[in-house]
Amino acid sequence: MSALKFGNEFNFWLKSEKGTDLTRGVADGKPLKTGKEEVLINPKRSALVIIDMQNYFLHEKCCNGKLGREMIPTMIETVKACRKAGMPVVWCNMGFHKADLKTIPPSYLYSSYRRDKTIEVFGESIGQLEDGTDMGGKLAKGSWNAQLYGPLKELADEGIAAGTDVWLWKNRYSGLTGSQPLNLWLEENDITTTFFGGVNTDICVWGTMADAYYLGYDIVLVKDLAATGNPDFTTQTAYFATEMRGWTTDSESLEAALA
Amino acid sequence: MGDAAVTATPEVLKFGNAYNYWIKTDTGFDLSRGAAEKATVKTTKDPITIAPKKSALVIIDMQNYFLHEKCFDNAPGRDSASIMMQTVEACRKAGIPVVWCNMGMDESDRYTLPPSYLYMSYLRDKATFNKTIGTVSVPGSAEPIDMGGKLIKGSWNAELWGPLKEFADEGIKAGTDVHIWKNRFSALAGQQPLELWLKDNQITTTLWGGVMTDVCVWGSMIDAYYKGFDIVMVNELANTTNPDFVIKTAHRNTENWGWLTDAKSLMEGIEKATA
Repeated sequence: MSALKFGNEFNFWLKSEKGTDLTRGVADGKPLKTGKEEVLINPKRSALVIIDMQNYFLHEKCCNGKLGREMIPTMIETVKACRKAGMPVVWCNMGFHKADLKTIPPSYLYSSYRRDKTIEVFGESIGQLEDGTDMGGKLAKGSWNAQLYGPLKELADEGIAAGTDVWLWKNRYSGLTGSQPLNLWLEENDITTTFFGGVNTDICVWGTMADAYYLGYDIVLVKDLAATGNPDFTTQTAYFATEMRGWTTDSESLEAALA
Repeated sequence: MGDAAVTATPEVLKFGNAYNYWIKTDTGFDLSRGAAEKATVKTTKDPITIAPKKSALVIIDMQNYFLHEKCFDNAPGRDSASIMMQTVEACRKAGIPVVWCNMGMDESDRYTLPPSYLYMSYLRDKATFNKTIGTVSVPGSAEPIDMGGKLIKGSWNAELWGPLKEFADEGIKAGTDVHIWKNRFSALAGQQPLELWLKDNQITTTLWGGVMTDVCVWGSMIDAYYKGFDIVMVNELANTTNPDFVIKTAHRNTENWGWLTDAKSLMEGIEKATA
């Protein structure tokens, strides 16, 4: 039975009884187990996009994202597997600079005020660590709190130095709304298939995935690499919405596919 | 100063820059940005004070394709038409523009639609994009009519459903309503007409209804939030056939970054607009 083709000559899926071929016509696609079916991926045109695994969201002294911290050992293994298979790793993190201060939505400023209970001008230090380190302005580029958490910092720095990983900033929950660095990077690197992890599943991860879908990228949520502190129904919704537009998988299946 | 700032006096907090800002007091949120004419609307949280001329009611996808029994058959969507028309009439009276923002594609869209969307369409309609999705019996026609290609601009299935078609046409003719197309779930993803219209008309505050709450309505609302617009969902005007947990999530997010109101509260508030 011949496959059904959906899309244009550059961006298409091939659907058959076996599953969905996302390789855009490459012969040696890697079979990946997902929640629905088997898909074939091309690691060189895929990317693992890791969202907001930063001190601000994870550190005990800030938002204290315990569930996010717990994912880290698994995340490190998956990142290493991606590097080996030639699949780029994108660390896409929240960061503001002076120009952003002019256009941050009132709604975001109010949410920040609610959380941090401060009336300081956005950009003033959110405090100090016990050892005296200045945490810096909330999610200000260059601040301690905008850095990757714990072992991820060194892990990412290695990858960036080796050319397997890249660091991109975002200034909204979605890294793909408006015109942001991730928009350009995905285009310039000819990516077709985006895998997502990070925090929070229902806010910044799903937010970016929804925009990736509108832009025509395949979206795959790596479930055990995404966490949130919000109630379970929000994760349920993110999974439901993902299955409608793309696929869910897990780190073990992804690593098996890339091996 | 142009910098975004949180400035405080004992009773008043200001969030935003000199053009786009909220003022929060003990009595609620002032979203009017200093406009002369204001209306205070109750929400599930604090009351909001909006400027009718800087607000817009955006109604998403109330089209035959999604609502008609022969197509997606969204009964809750159909059932909302009555309260929706009442709310639209109240908005027209209060000078709040009404935007009918509907899914519609043409040949050029076909080239760039995500494979995912094309496959989803195939699953539902078992037809390739642009081929007719069948025929339907309509009042006033002896023979069934061609429904047209799925959500193709100009087709019957892309038209507003039932009484809404004529109702919207009246408003468009009178200048109170406008029709705008969209080609993704979110009306504000990428570069689409709604964004230009909102900017051209200096809208700061967007009110939302239509179908489906969790897909095209919330999808558009979150993109509106990123772009700095205030977002308000009008509860009964937004409907979905998906499970309850997606509605819970949409409401939770709406209340976190904007407000959730109901048709009655909205109509009462804008009726009492004062200058």
